[in-house]
Order: sequence, then structure tokens, then C-alpha cells
Amino acid sequence: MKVQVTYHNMLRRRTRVERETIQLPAETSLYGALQKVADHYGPPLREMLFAPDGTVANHLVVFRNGQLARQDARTVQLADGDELMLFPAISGG
Amino acid sequence: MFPYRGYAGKCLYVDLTRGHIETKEYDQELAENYLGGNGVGTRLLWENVGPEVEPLGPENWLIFSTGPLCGTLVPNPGRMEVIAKSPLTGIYGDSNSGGFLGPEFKFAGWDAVIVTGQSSRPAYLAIADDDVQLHDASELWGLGTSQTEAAIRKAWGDPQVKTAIIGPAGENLVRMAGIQITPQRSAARCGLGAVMGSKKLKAIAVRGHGPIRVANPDRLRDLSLEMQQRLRANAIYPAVSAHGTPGIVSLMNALGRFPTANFRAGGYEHADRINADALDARAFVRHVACFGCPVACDKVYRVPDGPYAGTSLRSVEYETLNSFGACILNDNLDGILAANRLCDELGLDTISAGRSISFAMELWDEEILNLDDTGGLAFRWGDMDLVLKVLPMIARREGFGNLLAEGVRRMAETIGRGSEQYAMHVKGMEIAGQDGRAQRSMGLAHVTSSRGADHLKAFPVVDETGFPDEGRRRYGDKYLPEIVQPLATRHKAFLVKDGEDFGAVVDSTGMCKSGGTFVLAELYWPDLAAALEATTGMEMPVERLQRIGERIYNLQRCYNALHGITRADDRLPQRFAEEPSPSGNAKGQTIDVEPMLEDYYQLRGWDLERGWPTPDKLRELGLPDAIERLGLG
Repeated sequence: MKVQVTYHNMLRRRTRVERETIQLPAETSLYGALQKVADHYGPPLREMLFAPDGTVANHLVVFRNGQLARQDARTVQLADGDELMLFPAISGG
Repeated sequence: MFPYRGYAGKCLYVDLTRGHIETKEYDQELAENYLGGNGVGTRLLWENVGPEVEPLGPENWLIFSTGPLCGTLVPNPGRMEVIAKSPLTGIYGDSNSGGFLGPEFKFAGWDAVIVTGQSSRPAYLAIADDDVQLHDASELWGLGTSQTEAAIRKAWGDPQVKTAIIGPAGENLVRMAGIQITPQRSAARCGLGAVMGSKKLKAIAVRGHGPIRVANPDRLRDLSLEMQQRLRANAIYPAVSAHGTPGIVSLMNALGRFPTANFRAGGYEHADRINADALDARAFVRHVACFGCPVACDKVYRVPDGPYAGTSLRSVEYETLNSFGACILNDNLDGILAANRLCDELGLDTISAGRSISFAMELWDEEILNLDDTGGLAFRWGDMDLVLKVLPMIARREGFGNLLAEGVRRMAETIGRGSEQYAMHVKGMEIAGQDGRAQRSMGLAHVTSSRGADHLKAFPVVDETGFPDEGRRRYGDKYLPEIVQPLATRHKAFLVKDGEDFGAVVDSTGMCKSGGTFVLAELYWPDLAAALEATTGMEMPVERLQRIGERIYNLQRCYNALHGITRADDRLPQRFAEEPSPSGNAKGQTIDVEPMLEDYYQLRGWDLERGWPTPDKLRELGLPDAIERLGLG
């Protein structure tokens, strides 16, 4: 299946890519998708997506199809055509 | 002899009617009960500027007020407060600015400067340590703010002079006029520039060379170092430091919290053209910081080419990217920077000026306004040529600009014809770049803010996107998970009340909310209590500090109650209750603040009918005079 991923702010500085479509096996979870892009871009991005223990970083903000995805990423099943937006921790304003 | 350290220990009273300047010792009891800054200003306004005083009359007070941590070693200690009755709202008004002026007041030996009366001709106040003089400012009257600052520095022969200056907007009593603070910072909200203009005070210029003595230097050094290290280790620090407030544009847009087309929506399809990445790519020059700030959220920008080539400025904020971007459906980033620079020069609040224009654009779109109303100006969405033409008209009150200069509440009253439903304000203050449909606590904060619609009094941030770590670190597990969920209503009364009380203290110390205390949610009651104790020598257990914050906020409510404010005024524009948001994470959402408001009044100890502090609460806070003055005894 194909999933679109958009990187924002500090994440975009690590990927140097604003938006891309990634190919994933069917029934991949959100966690799996994050692993896929972390594998591709290596440690600079991985350290912003995952805590040292391998869990998704508390300060990663993920939107799936326009809605905040705050659930356990391992339980979020992605579907073909899903759109993910990834933000680093930031607040204010 | 004033007993506490951290303070200069004295303040200036400047009576412009008589041209009289007087030095008074800083009031010990005020320091003990209200700290300084916002708290002391609130108390002075309460005691001296009653309901009978016209905001633009000579009897209004204009209070420049620093706090005991201002200019010290603690992180981001560069803030100062300006307090007066607001000509925009007619109630309590304040505005806070970063930069370098607050510390310079302290170095010159002054905790506060209180300006009263009205000069017969333009004047400026020159403060060089103990040498304080009023000068004729006739030649400066009519100049823009940067022109004025340059002229004063040239006259002084000192590039390190710090200033507070009004532009043409303040001179012409525009109700959204701000005060420009060195360097291109602004005490923008509440129209306090018009209060300064009504007094014919063009500028205050300050140069100081004295020390700030603290009670326990070793302890303060250790505390400050520890706080600085915590800020730099904070998970949010890298993004805030890299991008400043523009860094949240895309996130707020995704949340549906980025006002678009005068709040018809909370998301803008072209937000990526006006976000931090676009701004950096187009115009970034270098990072800069306010006094003593390790975050350095400020940046210098310069438009490299095109119609606005050479436009150079700093302090471009999320709010301005919203007000001259999404809120008027403009995706021309250079145009936003040009409008921002022009507002700085004219001395206009970019939020309220932008909202007057977006209001007029929606009325044009709804065919409520026509060319006859506007003097031949077509208020089409996104027309930056129009915006850049209209801003000087607002500042000079020319043509249709004279109506825009009044703010959206008065505009709606004048225009009529059903326009009120599009006037996005609370108590006369234009709503800034937030939408309560996307963040419930912010909707509540807008109605409970003591200066009218405002995000910065309560400044709820932990529930913008739901960071459980921040929520847990600050409030413990007791309020999780709802307290960090943007669309939850449970515990939001607590979040708002605590933010208002803590914010009142932060604004009374001279520290910054965009630094460690709110945006990073790193420094909290115990940190400020320890820093105050080390700096001033006052015993400051957390409970005492919390009581001070609560006292200040209650007194602001009492001040507004004196001016007729009741629960009936604590409400959002109907749009938020009736029109579901079409945007992002808030899609389909409306907001009803009443249940949260009920919780809030109960938590505050205010009566549910009028929303006024009860006599018991006022006695508890040591405010018996408020019981008498409000007729509650």
C-alpha cells in the first residue's frame, strides 16, 4: 500500500524532503511506517521519532488523515492512501 | 529604606500636566503583596483610576512596571509591563514586552515609571540614571517609531539608549495603537499607545549604568544555571529556538486552530507558503535574542527581492503570519512582512489591525459593506495592496481608516446591518490566532481573560496537541489524560485558572512566558519561588506565591466588575457555538464554554450569577477594600 508522509519543521531539516509517498506492506501499523522512514533517513531522524527504548517519542506529534493520532502507534493500522503529517514537539502562540 | 534586593527600590511619578517629576520609594507592602510588574500596576490602577476616568483623558495612568527578576541572571528576564485603562475595551488593560527596556529601567535605578496628566505639547521623557528630564518632542511628533528612535539616539550620542515610542497611530488615538520597545518589540495590545498619545508623550528614553543587587548571589547563580540547563534540555527547546513562534503555523493549521478568513475556518490551504520553513527559506538573516534569553526565539528577516525588496525587520510572530496571512486569505509572505514592518513603524498592533481588516473583508464578501461605505476601497480577500494602503489610513484616521481604527466592536456598532455576528472579539478585544473550537481551554481562556479576548493570560499550552509528559511534569497524574487533550473539557477550568494565576506572577517578575514558564512548560511555581527568595530576600514559600497570583487576578476581575463587567460579558462570538469548524482536527467541532465557565467560577470562588469574587474569597486574599468598593459588604 502507499502512504503519504509530510515532514514539518525540525523533521524536515533532517529529511530535507517535505513530502513523499512510501510503499508499505499491507496491514502495516503506524509504528511500522515510522520505522520505515527512520530506517531510510538514519539516526538524525530516528532520534526525533523514537525514544532510546524504541517506543515512539512522546514529543512526536502525528496526524493521520487530518486527525491527531495519540494512540499507541502499534495499534494504529494504516490503510492504502493514508496521509501522515509528522511534527516535532513545539507549542505556543 | 526599601528592605528588599532585586528591586531598584524607587519609582518615578511624572505629572505631564504640571511638568512635575517626583521620586518615591517603592512601596514595601506592594512588593510583598503584588511583587512588581503586572501585580503592582494592577494595584495602582485599582487605587487611582476609577470607573469615572476616561481612558484617553488626563486622569488615566500609564504605568511602566518592571519586576524583581527583570535584568537578573534567571533565564529570559527581559520583560516589562505597561498597564492602563484600555481605550479599546474600556476595562483593565495591560501589555507586556520583551527586548531590553525593562532591564535598562532597573540599571537606571527605577522599578516603575508612572505617567499621569496630559502635556500641553509633545514631550519625551529622558531618563539617564538619576537625571530625569522632560524634553520638547514637537520635532518628533508625526515621525515613525524607528525614525524617532534614531533621532533620540543621535541626540543622545549613544546607540545603547533604550526607548518606548509611539508612532502616528498613538498620536492619533487609534484604539489599537501599541508602544514600540527597543529593539522592534512591542507592547501592542489594548491600545496603550493611544493612552500615551493622549498624554502627548512621544517617547521614553532610558540609559542606566547601575547594578541590580540580589540577596543571595551564590544561590541565584546556581538556580539560574540549573534553570538554563533545564531549558536547553527541554524537548520543545530545539524547535522553538530554531523557528520562534512561526514554527507553530503548520501545527496549528493541522489542528484547525489557525484562524482563516476571519474565523470562518481554522485551517488555510496555503499555510505552507507562510510557515516557518517558507519564512526561513525566503528571508532569514540571523538569530537574535532579548536580554538574557537562552531560547532566542527572535530572528532578523529581510525580503531579498521583488516589490517589497529590502524590507528588514525582526520579531515576526505567529500572530502576524496569521493576521495578515490566513485570516485575510493572503499567501504572499513578502506582503505579510511588509505589513508587519509598516505596523511597527506606524505603532499599530498587528493582531487588532489585521482583525479590523479581516472583519471588513468578510463584511465586503457578505455584501454588508460597499464602495459607498468604504470611500471607494474594495475589501477583497487577500489584497495586500489594499492592506498596505489602509494601514497608514488607520494610523492617521483618514477616510474609512477612521472607522477601522476603532476596532471591530465599535465598527460593528457603527455599521449595523447584522455585522455584529462577524465581529470576532470578547469584551472589545479582537481574538488573536486561536480558535476555541480546536482547543477547548483556549475558548475558556478567551472569555475569562481580564483584558478581553486573550490567549496569554491563561496561556494553556499542554493541551494544544496533547503532550502527556508536560501535563504529568506540571500537574501530576491527577488530571491526566483529559488535561492534555485539546477537545476535552474536563479539568480545563483548573488549567485556565492555574495558568492565569501563574501568568500573573510571571508577568510580575519580569520573566517571559514564551521562554521557560509557558511555551516550554519547564519552569513552574517552585522555580519562581526559589528565584524570588534568592533575589529579593523575601521568604517565598510556593503557597505564598500562589496566593499572590490569585490576588492579582482577582483584583483585575474586581477592577472590571467596577466597570460593569459580569458573567454576561464572559462569552464567545456566536460563530464558535453555531458554525462547526470545517478544519483539520477540529472538523465538525463547535464550543460551548458554559459548563467550563461554571467549573471555573466555582474553582475561583466567584458567584455563579455575576461571576464576581465573593466576599469570602476577597477576605481570604486580603482584599477587604474590594468588598466595600463593589458593594458586597
